[in-house]
Amino acid sequence: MTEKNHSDFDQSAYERPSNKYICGRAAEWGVPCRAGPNFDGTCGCVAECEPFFVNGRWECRRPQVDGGPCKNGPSPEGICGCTQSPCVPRRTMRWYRGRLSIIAAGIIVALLAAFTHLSNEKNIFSDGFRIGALDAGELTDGHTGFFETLECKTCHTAHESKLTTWLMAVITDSDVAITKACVNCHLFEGEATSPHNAVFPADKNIIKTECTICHNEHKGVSADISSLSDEQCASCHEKKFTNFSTGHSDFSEEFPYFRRTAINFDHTTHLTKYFQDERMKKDKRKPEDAPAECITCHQNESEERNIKPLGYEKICATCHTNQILKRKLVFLRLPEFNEPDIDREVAIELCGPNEDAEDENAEDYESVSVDEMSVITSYLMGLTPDDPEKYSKAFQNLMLGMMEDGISPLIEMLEENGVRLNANQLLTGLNPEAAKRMACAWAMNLEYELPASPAFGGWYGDLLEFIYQPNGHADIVIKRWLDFAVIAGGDNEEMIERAEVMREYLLSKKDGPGACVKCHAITRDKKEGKLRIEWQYHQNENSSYQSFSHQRHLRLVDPQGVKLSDPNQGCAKCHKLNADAAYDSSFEDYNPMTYSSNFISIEKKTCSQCHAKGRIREDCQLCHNYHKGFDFTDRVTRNKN
Amino acid sequence: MNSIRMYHILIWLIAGIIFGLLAIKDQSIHARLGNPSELTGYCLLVTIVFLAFFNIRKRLSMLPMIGKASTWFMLHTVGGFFVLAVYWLHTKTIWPTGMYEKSLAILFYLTVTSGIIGYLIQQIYPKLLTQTGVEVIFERIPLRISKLRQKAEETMLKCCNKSGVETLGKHYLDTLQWFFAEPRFTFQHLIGSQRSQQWIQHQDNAVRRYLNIDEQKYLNELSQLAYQKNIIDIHYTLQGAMKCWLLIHIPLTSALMLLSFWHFLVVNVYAL
Repeated sequence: MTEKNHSDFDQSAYERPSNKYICGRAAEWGVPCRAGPNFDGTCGCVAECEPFFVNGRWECRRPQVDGGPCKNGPSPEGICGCTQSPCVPRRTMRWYRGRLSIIAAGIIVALLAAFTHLSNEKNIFSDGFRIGALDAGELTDGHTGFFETLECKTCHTAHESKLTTWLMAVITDSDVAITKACVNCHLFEGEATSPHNAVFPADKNIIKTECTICHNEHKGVSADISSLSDEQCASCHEKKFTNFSTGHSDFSEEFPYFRRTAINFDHTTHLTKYFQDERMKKDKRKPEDAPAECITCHQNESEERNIKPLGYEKICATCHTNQILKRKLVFLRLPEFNEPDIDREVAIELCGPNEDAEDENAEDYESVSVDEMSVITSYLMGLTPDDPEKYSKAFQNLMLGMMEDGISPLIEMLEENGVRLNANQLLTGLNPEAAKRMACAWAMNLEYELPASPAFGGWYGDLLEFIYQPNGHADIVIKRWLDFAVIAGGDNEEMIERAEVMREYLLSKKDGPGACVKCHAITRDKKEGKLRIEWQYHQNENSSYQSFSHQRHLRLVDPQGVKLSDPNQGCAKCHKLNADAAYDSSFEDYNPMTYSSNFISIEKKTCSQCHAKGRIREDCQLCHNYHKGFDFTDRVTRNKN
Repeated sequence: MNSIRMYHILIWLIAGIIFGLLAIKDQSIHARLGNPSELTGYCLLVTIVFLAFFNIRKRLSMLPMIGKASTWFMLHTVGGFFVLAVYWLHTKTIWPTGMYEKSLAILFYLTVTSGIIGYLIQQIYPKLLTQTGVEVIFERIPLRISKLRQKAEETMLKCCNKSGVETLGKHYLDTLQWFFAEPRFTFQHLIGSQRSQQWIQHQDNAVRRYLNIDEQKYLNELSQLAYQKNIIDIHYTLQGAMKCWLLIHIPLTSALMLLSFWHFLVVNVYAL
């Protein structure tokens, strides 16, 4: 049954499967025309042959496969004598395939055109629909707002630009442009494109980083776009290891107490001395008043790395408030004069007569004060405090000014001496009348008698001193004076020396006003930098690449029935007191990094007891953050507000 | 094991090795905080273009230096599976999230699925065709059917004329005329069913008891012609299927190529 000689020219027809048409008769399962359809789709077999004119006559040229020359032969006009009615050729499957391919491509082009160009307000296509042609996936939850504002342009600068610009973006580096867009909203402590936002030594071969190296968007609303594998971390780090428990280097000797705390709170002395029964009895307190465990003073709820203390009022005020109230600031002190320079009549004119005043004509003048000037006045007036010859006239002029204008001369004195802070803040609450009365008394060579004791602190004159008494913790006037003290300086050696003396007085732990620096650390952040007082509790930011959740760890303790105060299983499991540490002395040199903590440093084995292979996670990102000082720019926070 | 089989195994092995190296490189780039999608993407694009060239190669069969069609088909098949694996390596997901990326994924999966179906057709149907013991050129099937129909009608007429009885003629008009008119039992042939043969046998049995010995000889001839027609039908159905799947595969490829180019453009403008 297999066709023999099916390719011989005289045995079979010549098939043309690539033609666009097939014979209409074959399509209806009849005998197909021999020649098949023409290229234009018409029937090619109306005549069975095309007669050939030779030797003056027409010859039939019907092929052998169709029976050879016919009996009728061609007509004298050369027309085939065997004709038939034409068929209607049909399209081939190949033609349909080609046409479908063109249609499919056309549909894609049309859809892309519709998606990218047909959108405007008058069109049915919404913006969201239009973006569909470019939509590489949903943005994470925090970035979904972009779509409502600048759409793709928020990150992709080429979006909605001219066609030429758009196409030129093919050869530009999009990562750089996207990073620029990122830092429009995201803020870091260091350079955004520097690894870890840090500054590295020049000899280090550090590559520039772009945000897109680690963060890839368009992966869905809940996609995690900040996770890195340990291998990825290790790709940059010189020391490569596969897991924390066996590969990570040992923690440093200071870990995690690298930087001195803002508050000078000696845990050892408090726990072993002050909170012991004897000490509590001395302060007329019950032993039960002493903190029972760490979380009595440290809040442990919702805390991550830093267990923040509960604050002065809750944990310190009971014992320390009285100490604050006792420490007064002596602003002015009437010094000893050799002779009065203020004319008595002028004094009486400004202040009125004073019955207690000595007779103006008395032969021997004897100053009511035998003291020196206060160190503050000495610095502010630029005078030697113990040499009446030098300070007498200037100080009495100050007194005269106070008699005339109350506190105005004091403000001028502060401002003339380069007080950078607002002078009014240093004298907040000072009553000009009180200043005038005190100056009047001193002008008459009398001690100023306070009409009534101050009940709540504040400015008042008392005998030979003009005093400020703090009214409690965080007294704003005392804080301003101490801030003034740390920045006070001078143009010459004398002034610098006087500033130092004033600083010693104001910042004295033992006698300083307000007793502030007894607890608040004085810090110089840089070697040649200025001093500052750490008024606020600060997070442990020095090792900002590390993260730690106290909350998660503390949760593990309580459910097991172990109290946090348990010396072996509670907080002390990690934080062990170091009774030998020179804690207090580490506050003396103002350098926050020369720190001797009350606690023994934590070793790696403390963590690797649990964070080990087959136990609890030990990947890099569990404990380390990549970015330093991560925050948002005003652009974001403004919107939030 | 013959050399062709060895050759096929070698190609599969090479494809597997290339994919393995690509996967290792992808992981290495990822670990070094690079963008492995760039490498796998270009690899994917080049492979898809190469696969699409198979269709062009068919049109250039007159050129002697471009290799055998069977070799190209083998490379096309291996390349098809390779491209599926590289696609997953590229996207790191089975189903992407973006609208046009979903469209691209749909087109890709449809193209690959139609390709796999085509591959199965190309693997199974030629064997079934060989089992028929007959070779028929697809374009000549109408002529073959027409000739068989002509012979069947002549046989039926001869029988009627000689016997003077219309039994076989009536039977032909009622049943076999329908069968010889055009290819029948298409679906049954597609699934390899023997239903058509049973039908012919049934028609034979149904009328044989009413025929005398002379008429039965003509019936035998008719049945033989019907069986031959059945084989032609099998060829028509199976060869047709081997061509028809391209009606889906090639248009899908065309759309996929175009959307892939758009993807290439968009990615380079927006992300690279």
